Amino acid sequence: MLVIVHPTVLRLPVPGPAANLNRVTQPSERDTRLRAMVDRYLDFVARVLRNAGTPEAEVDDDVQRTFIAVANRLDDVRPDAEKSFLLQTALRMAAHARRTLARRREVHDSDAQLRIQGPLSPEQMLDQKRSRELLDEVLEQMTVELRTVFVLYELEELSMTEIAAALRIPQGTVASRLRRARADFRDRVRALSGSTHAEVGS
Amino acid sequence: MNDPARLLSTPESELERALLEAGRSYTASNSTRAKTLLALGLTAVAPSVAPAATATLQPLAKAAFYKVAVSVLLIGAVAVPVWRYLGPRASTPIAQRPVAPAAVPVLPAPPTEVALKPAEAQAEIPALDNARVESAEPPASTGARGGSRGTRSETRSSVAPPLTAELAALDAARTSLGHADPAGALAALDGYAREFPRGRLKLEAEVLRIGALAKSGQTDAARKRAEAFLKLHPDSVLASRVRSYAGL
Repeated sequence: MLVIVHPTVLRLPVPGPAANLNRVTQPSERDTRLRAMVDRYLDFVARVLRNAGTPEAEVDDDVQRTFIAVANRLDDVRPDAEKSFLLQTALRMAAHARRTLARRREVHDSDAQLRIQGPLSPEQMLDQKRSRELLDEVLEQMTVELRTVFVLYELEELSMTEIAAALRIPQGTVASRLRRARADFRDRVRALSGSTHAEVGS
Repeated sequence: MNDPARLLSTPESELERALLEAGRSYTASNSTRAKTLLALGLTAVAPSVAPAATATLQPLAKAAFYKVAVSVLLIGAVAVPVWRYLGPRASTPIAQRPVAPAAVPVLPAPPTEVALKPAEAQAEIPALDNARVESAEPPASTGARGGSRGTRSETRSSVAPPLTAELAALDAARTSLGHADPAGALAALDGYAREFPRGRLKLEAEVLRIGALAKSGQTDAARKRAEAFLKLHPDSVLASRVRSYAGL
């Protein structure tokens, strides 16, 4: 029987790159597909999770859980439906993360009040980290239905048809939610901008 | 139905633009990618990835080299005065004592060995992609704990076996499993356990062991270890792999 032993285990000098490449196991079709999915959709999944309400500290874990969930049902996922499957899974993960966060806030309900604290200078407002925090605040104040459609349309640039298919709702409902979501978002940003300017000016 | 123009194409204010751009620009970190691949059991390198990884890892090798060099200097700085004070009196007759010992011979052996590590690392690096190296980063909690220990922790980590060696050892086990050779995988995992008793990837090693036991027909042992793993780490991202290996 041929036993392949990695040279590192035997503490032998490690040969150069060419020899190493020859020793690499040929990945299975399943592994190749999974790896391609990670390469292609990792940022997408992380962004959806984050924008849909997963706290920053939990994005890593939820990204892994999302891909593991898809890996467990890989045979059921058509290649042309991978993105949609990942999206639906990520949205479920984010919903769970939001619920957990909400429960935590019932205990520490001062959290939400702590984050928007002025006064902010225009430079601070445009600072990317601060922008992220402000965006979180604005999105958190929106209802889940409006937030989801807003995130998918405005931040992920999915079409209304794609959103309707992913959320399994009629296109008319998507259009209506998007209209309300955009108005809601703009109102909140205007309010934020106004109050911030007022604080800066005072 | 026509899709309306995105808000970012006609933002009402700079703040609105900044917020929308912040939402669009979020990306996963390299460590997220590495951890995800690890959780999926996909840490082996695809041939097409390796050449690119070589370039990416050069800075890591440099950083490792500087860390080791600093450690050698620190250890040397402590060892020289100690040797001057104790060494010649303890082991050499007075007549043979050197007047001023040369600096090089008094350097303790371990730093010299450590100084050779970067060369080894350079040789190993092309076989590993950046994801795998970053995957071995300790979790945030351990990192914070290590940080609080200050210099002692840094010195210890600089002489610890390189992560690439741990990863390579686990790759050997994974390769054997991929070749339907669970006995080889178990042997490689035994080697890993001997070589890295406090390995930073021991959870991954345990998952591989459960898989190897299951595939070698030792299903009871696999199941017992899987149950113990799940009891200790119920929320681990590796849990689903453990369940599937052990048929739980």
